[in-house]
Amino acid sequence: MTPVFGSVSISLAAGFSILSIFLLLFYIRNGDYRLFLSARRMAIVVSFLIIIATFILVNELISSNFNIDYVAHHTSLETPTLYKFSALWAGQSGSLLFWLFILSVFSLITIYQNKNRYHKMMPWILVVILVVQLFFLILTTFITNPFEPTKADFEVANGLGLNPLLQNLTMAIHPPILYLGFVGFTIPFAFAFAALMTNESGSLWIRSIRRWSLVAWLALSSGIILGGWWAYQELGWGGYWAWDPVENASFMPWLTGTAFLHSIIIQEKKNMLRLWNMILIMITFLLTIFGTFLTRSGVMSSVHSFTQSPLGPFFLSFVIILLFICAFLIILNLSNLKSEKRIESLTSRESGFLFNNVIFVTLCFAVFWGTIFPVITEAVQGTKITVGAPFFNQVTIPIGLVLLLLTGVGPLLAWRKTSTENFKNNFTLPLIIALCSLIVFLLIGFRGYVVISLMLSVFVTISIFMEFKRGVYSRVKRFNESILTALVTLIKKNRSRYGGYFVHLGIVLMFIGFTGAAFNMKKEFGLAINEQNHLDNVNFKLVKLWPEERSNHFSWIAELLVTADNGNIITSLRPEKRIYFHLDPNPDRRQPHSELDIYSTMQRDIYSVFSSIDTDNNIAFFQIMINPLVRFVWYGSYILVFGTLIAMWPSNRKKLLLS
Amino acid sequence: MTWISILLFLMFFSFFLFSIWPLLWGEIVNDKESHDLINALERRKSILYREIQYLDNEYYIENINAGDYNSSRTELVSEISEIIDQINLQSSKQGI
Repeated sequence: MTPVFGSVSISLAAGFSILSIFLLLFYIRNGDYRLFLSARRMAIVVSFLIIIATFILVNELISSNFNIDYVAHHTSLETPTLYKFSALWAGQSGSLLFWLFILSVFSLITIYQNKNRYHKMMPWILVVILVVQLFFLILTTFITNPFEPTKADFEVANGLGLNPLLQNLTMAIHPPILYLGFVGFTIPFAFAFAALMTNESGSLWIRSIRRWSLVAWLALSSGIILGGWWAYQELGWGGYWAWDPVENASFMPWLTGTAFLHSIIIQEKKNMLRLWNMILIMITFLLTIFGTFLTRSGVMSSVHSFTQSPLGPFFLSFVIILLFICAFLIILNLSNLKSEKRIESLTSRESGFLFNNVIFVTLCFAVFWGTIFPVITEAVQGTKITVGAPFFNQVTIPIGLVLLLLTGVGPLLAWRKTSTENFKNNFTLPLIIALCSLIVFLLIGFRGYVVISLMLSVFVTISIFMEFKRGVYSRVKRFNESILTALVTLIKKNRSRYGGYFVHLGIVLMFIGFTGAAFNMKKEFGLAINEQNHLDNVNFKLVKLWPEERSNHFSWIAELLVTADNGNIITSLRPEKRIYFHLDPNPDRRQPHSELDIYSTMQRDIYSVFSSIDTDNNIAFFQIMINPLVRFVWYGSYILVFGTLIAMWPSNRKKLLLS
Repeated sequence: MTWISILLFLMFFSFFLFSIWPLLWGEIVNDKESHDLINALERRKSILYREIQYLDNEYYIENINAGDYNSSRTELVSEISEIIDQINLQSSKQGI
């Protein structure tokens, strides 16, 4: 019974959204406020209906109603409850409904937050949100309905189960967080669109979406990092970033979103870069839709494209139509978007922000080109030419290093113009220390990008440290505060600025982690019981090998004793070779999976993968990797999240006005 | 007609009624856009206050020279006073 409710709910939501859009357009034309009130209520109803539909699907997944095709395809009786729940976003139609669910929650928050604000912009904001909802509702109603009944002329006793790669805690939370980021950028886009339609292109709309952009950016960053963490822990190739098209799909809006977060500071403070900001937020939103298209259309095969679908043309048409509308609107409002002020000097913080923006967008373009190149070559020549990690590394590493440099230089520049005295005061110490570190790194034997990356990391760290030091000492001098009080007050009073510095510090740590990848080592070997092999100065001895039957899989478990050259025991690793659906009579459905084990320290990770087993001779085959500095990436990401939380934490406006 | 159909119809009808209810009210005068203007000015004012605080901080940590500091601060203060005048004007127009 309930699936009917689900199906009807999304159909009704589509109907209500069309009605609401019409009412809003009529309101904009004739100004009858009742039309707006009614349309706003309809927008609320649309969101509620979508939320109801989502809950119904979750209920069907958990109660294993295999009469629904989606439930039968993505869960089985053996699937643990948590993964039955996460199956909501494991497949195509479910993930589109989940996209709608998040947008509906955001829509309700936006309506509630702005109940008594932005009366001129609000109708357009709602139109944009409703159009996006309508697009996804059309897809989930007519193209890929999650409530579609199972096409079988017999009772379906069990489902196919969830892909084993997705049966991982990180994978249970990575997609929803990433989606929060993707969907989150719809709200700033809606505000930008409304600002253009109502000629409110000053700094007001920027102020209203700053926190939304930060939330979306934080979610996108966390989603990307969790994706990397999942790939590292689960896929068994020893890395966290493979320049996979779907990874790139989330990275591109992150790049333009980061540029946007920087450049809105200039618009807010100096009322400059108005046109640029408008373009950036529109590109960011379009890239999120493009990202969903890449993920869900199956246009490119990758580890993420678990489903192939007929959605591609719809998404592409939607992106192209939006692109044209945005371009048209921007051209139409060109005169309104011109900034009154100009950048006064190349050595100003405004210029620093602008350079940083240009670099971010260049990097985004490079990634975009590399991502769509196979599709273009296939369309033009008929053969797919893929550009792999070497292309991306070659292009993005130097650009990334320039960005790292600007991360350190930007905060040291003064607004309007940096005087010679400022230069001396701010740059001398970081430069001297960075140059000293360069000499040390060269003496150690580091060369090329490694030495540049490490030197720049030192430079940026010192520049951030100096910013904190100057701020703290200024407070100590002025208010006679203790250093700790001064530090806390400094951060509390300038949350976005010092939160931003924490984010920069996190980025530095992540760069150190990325640099470590230059020293990765790998070896494959087979071991019988009590045999050993080595990689670098680490020995691996197979001490135990046994099978184990578990609820939803069968596993071979190996115990490797890891020792240093001098005989000291480092750790014991237990990688597994699993076979999911092992009881299935159809051998094609049995899915092998390597559950790896990692010993992680700040210095290096020892990464073990149980590749295969020769049961006749009792020989287990392993892939062992030693990956230096990987932990810096994860610690950097914690600091990045911490810094963003500080930056987006609301400040007390009343206290500010009183001060 | 099964009871599921009745339930679905009731659900649709109640949502529909909730949505169109404002259309059944008498004409409403929307004077909220002028409130928007005051809100916008208030927000701009708080941004500028924050800017002054930020500028002061930049000056105390010697990231901006005295000349630039004074001229920027004067610009900000005069912009704030213009905004306060506009807020007062709008408020008196609306009798707030």
